[in-house]
Amino acid sequence: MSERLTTTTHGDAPLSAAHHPDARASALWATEEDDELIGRTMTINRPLADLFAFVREPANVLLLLGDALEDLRGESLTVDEEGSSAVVWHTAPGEEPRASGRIELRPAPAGRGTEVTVTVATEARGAIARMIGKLRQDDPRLQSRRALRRFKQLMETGEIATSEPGAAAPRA
Amino acid sequence: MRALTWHGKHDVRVETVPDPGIVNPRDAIIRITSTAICGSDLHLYDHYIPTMKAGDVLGHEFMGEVVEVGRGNRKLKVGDRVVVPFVIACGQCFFCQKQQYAACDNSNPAEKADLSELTYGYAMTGAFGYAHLTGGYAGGQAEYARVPFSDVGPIVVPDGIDDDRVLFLSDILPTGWMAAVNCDIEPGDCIAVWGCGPVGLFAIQSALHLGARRVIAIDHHPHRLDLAKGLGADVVNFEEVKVREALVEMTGGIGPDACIDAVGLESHGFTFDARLDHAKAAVKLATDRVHALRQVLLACRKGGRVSIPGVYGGMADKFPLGALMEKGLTIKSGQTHVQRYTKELLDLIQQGRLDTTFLISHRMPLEDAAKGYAMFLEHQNEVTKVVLKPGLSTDSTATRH
Repeated sequence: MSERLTTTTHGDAPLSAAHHPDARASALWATEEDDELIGRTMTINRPLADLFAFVREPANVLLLLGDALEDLRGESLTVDEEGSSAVVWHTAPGEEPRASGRIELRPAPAGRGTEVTVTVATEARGAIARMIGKLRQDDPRLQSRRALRRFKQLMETGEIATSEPGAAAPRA
Repeated sequence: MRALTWHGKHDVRVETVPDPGIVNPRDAIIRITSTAICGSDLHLYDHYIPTMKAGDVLGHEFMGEVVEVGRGNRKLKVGDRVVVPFVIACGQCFFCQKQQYAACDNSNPAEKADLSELTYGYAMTGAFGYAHLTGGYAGGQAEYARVPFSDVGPIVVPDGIDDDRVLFLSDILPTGWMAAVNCDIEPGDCIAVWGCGPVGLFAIQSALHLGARRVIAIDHHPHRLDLAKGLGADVVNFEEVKVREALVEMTGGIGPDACIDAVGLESHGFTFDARLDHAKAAVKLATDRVHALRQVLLACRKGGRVSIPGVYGGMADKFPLGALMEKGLTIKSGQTHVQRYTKELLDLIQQGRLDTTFLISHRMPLEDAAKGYAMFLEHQNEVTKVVLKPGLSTDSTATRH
């Protein structure tokens, strides 16, 4: 097993993009060497303050995780603000699964809006659990990506895209 | 309502399906008056494109009358007559703001976007009637369609202008136009166009309109070559002549300045590499057949431009990357940013400077759509474009333009 990376020393990439990140170096509540670290960034064409008003609500933090950690419920989540541009959250000590994360906002360059980075550290799942998670689509990386995409759609267009055809009575 | 649904390779059926309704506030419901079968629909018909599901409604070239408008749409009114772009664009994301509407980040539903993100690196935009890669939206070969972001895409067209003159604003006319725009045409340029289907024909028409000195069109169907000639192109029949040698001779030894691949992934050809492509695709060792594109890359002059409107989806074998690099070619490609060009093209149509009707070979009722697909696939010389008319009686004979 390769040594885990605690910081990307020879580059500017985020730790979550490393082959083998050491989640304990992510300033989240990760305590074990094999804790997993995932991260995903999207640019949303809205002012930072608008997006911060949304993400600082604990219920919305859960929304942004999608079904990634389906056993989490609002009451077992602690959400703290970091200044006026980030929130960090963690599950209560003793709760299963152990998880924590950060939602970070930064102004995007060139008037593109706001960059939103969702980082999640979780207890390691075994290889088989990971595979099953992917098949069942409750893989945290996939779920948080989908949730972030829906958040972007909502903030930019006022809607969440769906290809549901809707239903109407047969027209003449 | 009645709609054309996909059920497998060469199996499409007109069936009764539920009418669509408003789901999101910016939706509109269109009662469809005209809808066409696209060459890229044949890739679905031949089951080249993955992520199709039985019962999917096809069709992405359609127009009609607005019959219902969501409460969030401040632009369209019930009764408006509109042509609907095949790509669904929100108007507000980074890509739409750059007018790269075919790259819209917000129209592919999040649960469907994973498929193309995995395959291509970033998620594709949503589009009508083109598999779940593009969101699984029901298409427009039907009596009604739900149109998302209907305050951005649909083009309002005035009464008094026949459907056939504007229907192709939905896809193939701006596709041919963008293919020509992507050639970055300079004075004196000779443009070579592979494929004289509707997109190739509109690309020829557009290239001449945009100032090309000469266009050389390549195909093997005599009728399609005649249509190209009628537009002002010189023609090359690849069954009769060696294309690359012909192009060298016809361009004073320099080669065409820009080349358009309007053929795409189901390329035909009779050379060894083409037959190998077919064989590999048949046993799924390869996905795309790139015989035409290989020829394009080898035929283009040094320092020239290559424009690829032809649809590709997967991986190509024996791709002449060395020719591309050593000759210093510029490649531009992509699904069409329809909304970027529609106003300009509608103006040209209304001024009588662009005719779109010349390539319609057949008009038939929606009920005969399955027959239309079979004809379009099997008789590509006689059948250039099939336009379906919902509501037209099946007693009507399929007419030839």
